[in-house]
Amino acid sequence: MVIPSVHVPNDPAELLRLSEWQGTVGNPQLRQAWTEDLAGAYVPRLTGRLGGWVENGNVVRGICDDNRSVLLPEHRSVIGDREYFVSIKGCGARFDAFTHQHLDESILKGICRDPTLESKLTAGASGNTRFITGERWYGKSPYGAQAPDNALLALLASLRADMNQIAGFHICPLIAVIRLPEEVERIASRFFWYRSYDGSYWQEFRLMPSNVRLYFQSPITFGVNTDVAFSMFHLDSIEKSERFLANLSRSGLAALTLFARSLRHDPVHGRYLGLEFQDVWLDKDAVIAPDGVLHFADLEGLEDEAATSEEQVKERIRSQFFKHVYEVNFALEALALQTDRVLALRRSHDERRAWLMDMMEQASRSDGYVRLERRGSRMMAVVEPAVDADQLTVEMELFSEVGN
Amino acid sequence: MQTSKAIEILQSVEDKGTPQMGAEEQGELVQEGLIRLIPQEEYDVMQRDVQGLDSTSIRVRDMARSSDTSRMAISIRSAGSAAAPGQSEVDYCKMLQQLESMLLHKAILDSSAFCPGTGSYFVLTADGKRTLEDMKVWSKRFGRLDLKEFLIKLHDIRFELATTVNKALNITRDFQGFGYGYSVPDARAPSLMLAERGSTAARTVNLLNAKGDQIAPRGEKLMIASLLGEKEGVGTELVTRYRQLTAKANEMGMTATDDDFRSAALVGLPDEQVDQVLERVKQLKLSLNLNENDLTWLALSDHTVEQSETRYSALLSGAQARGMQEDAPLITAMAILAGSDLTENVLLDRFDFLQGALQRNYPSPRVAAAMLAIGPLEPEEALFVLRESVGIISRASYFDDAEEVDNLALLLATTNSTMIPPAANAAADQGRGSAIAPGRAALFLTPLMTGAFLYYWMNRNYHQPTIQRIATHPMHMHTVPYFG
Repeated sequence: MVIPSVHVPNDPAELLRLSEWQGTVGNPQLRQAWTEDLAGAYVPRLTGRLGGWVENGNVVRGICDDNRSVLLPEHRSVIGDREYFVSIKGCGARFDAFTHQHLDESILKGICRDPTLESKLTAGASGNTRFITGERWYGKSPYGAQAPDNALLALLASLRADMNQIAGFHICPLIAVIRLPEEVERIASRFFWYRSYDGSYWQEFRLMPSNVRLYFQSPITFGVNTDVAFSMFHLDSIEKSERFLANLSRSGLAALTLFARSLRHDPVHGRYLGLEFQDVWLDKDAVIAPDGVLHFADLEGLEDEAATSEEQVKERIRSQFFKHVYEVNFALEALALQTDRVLALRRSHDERRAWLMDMMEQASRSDGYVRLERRGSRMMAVVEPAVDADQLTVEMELFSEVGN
Repeated sequence: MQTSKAIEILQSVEDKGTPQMGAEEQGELVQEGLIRLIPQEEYDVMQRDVQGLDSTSIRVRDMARSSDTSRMAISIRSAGSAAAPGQSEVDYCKMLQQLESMLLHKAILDSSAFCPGTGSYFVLTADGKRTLEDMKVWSKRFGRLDLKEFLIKLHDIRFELATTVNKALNITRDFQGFGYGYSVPDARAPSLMLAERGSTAARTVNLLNAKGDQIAPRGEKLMIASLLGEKEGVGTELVTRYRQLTAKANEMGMTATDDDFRSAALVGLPDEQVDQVLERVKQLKLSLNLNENDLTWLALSDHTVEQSETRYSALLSGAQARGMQEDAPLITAMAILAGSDLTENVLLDRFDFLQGALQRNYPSPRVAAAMLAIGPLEPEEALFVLRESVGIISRASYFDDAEEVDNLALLLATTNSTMIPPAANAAADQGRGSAIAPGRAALFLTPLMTGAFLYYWMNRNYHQPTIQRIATHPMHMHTVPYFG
């Protein structure tokens, strides 16, 4: 049975689909998802008007998702038994880069460096609009689109995966990245606040099982609107909650041990390499699928990190685990509390946490890289990296004085 | 079987003890689905099965680590079409299923109990666990009761709550059907009230039309119209009466807007009683520093003005003596308590307990705690009904924003608490019927009114309408809202 994808209701978004673009780099594993109906460059309608493109029949309706992404829920694929929809990242920003105001005509006029474009803007723009700008944002990205290195890093992470997972760590895989048309780049580069971006403009097409994030950056998040998330995922029985919890804890543990499970030995340089989260976090960069499996979405933040000694490998495993364990625990606690609310269970804190521990222990039984072991009232995570497990196994405390 | 015996047996199973029961008692518990028997043969099979748990777990782990199995379950297709899984996927899935079955067996064995009297192994079912909790909460009220009767009573309580929510769902849809632009979140609380009273959206819309408020009214207007709709009479007459009362309140120096909860509450009373209430509000205002809603609440109670003043002051100082800081919610809460017929100490005990228990549910739990404290149920029972209400509203998805759930549940719990049978013994109702002489009939302290008042108050002070929030987490400074 296929688990349907779920998206949070949000503002509609209209994009102009262009049939010309400068280049595509695709993920061969997902070639079938790059359909004729989907392939294209997607730009804000205002950008299209400024470039003189004809809208006739080319306006695509999607759903807003955070600042610069749009979901296309009618484009769906199934991987294994889970459905995913397409999300385009880098199809125009909704908000001013320096305030929380929606972009509109007056803001865009204020950052426009081309009188010809400004005059067209006056004629065409009214109300809120998304837009691709040439502001150099966070060092190397055009505000509203995507930088080539970020797009390609995300694609590389996807190429490394078996479709949607890297050794049990689930991701929202990229189908392809495209470079936007030259004319779009020309227009965008004339709009910026302070610093002009001088690189190429790219866009990512990724598959997501849901856009319910852990805590930030969606109108409904699992941590804040847990009641709503439960309702969206139809979690109305203990059996469903337990299945969800098993998937959440299994995938959460996989995220906490990504370095270990992706570890490879590089004999040429005499070092180890494993995947690390670079400036990305589970609470804002991961989504939860309707079956509870945590999927990492912002893949440009997954990069190999080197460790030159066994002790360094162990230290990296420890630091990744402890850096993110709070985020996973937050999700698990939210799930446990909400299960009690929905099912009107009268469990004490101790009973609830004992339940969590039981479920997590069971879920870890099938994990190839981490197993949970009880030591008195503590629970230890025993992490066995993908290579040289005999020397590199690490034990860490997951719960202290919680259960007996 | 008596509930007391059932508690003893089920608790023993829960504690992994050795339950003492006969074949007849065991049969009854099995029949009611509270325990599940494990035949000896099945028990032995599970025990043998579990012995292979560690080796199976190791095999599954090894498969998960190997590159072949990490490529499992992968086939992409359009939604709806199917693709055949590969052999490695089939093998891995089989092993996983086997492991899950073993884990299930282990969990059953770990939680099973053995009864020497019947020579049987069994486990507590989810229903059994829930019934055990139910009996602990309700046995005092229901007294010595047969298990079957008890189960029926509890079923009725849950069924009644669920039925009200289902009716409210339909009424909310009816509101939408009128096409006047009623927002669903605004219509929910009035719909719950109408559902409880068997009234309809049509009646409320009729009142709104008569009042000239039919186009996209806010929640408070819908609530006022719903309250008016509860009274007998033609819509236009009720509205005229409502306007007269609003004018009268203003004439007497009170503030009554077009959406005056007090006037809606007084519609249906003869002039003489209305005058009496408003006069009491006036008098109470002279000595108590309360807002008009709180004063009205007191004025509607059974007590004389002097009794109300004394009770309110005693309750407030009692609360302060217990370490509660004075704030707006506490003042309203004490006014609510003062209007009840329970003695001050009993009220404060109940209030204290409830506000502690409701801490997680409400930004300020005091008014909610006061509302439940004056209700007909004991605090534990009231929490039970509230908890069930939260569950039913959540499961029925009768909300948009998470913040609605607890307020709606409170409304459901307070308006439905009269369905609970009275206590079988006096001990469960201690503190009720105190030394206060029965004065005027408690015309207004109906569950419907308490619920509506509460919702009105919460809505005014704390309820945030359905908004799309970008949360800011105090702990995570690395996050830039909006920009992913």
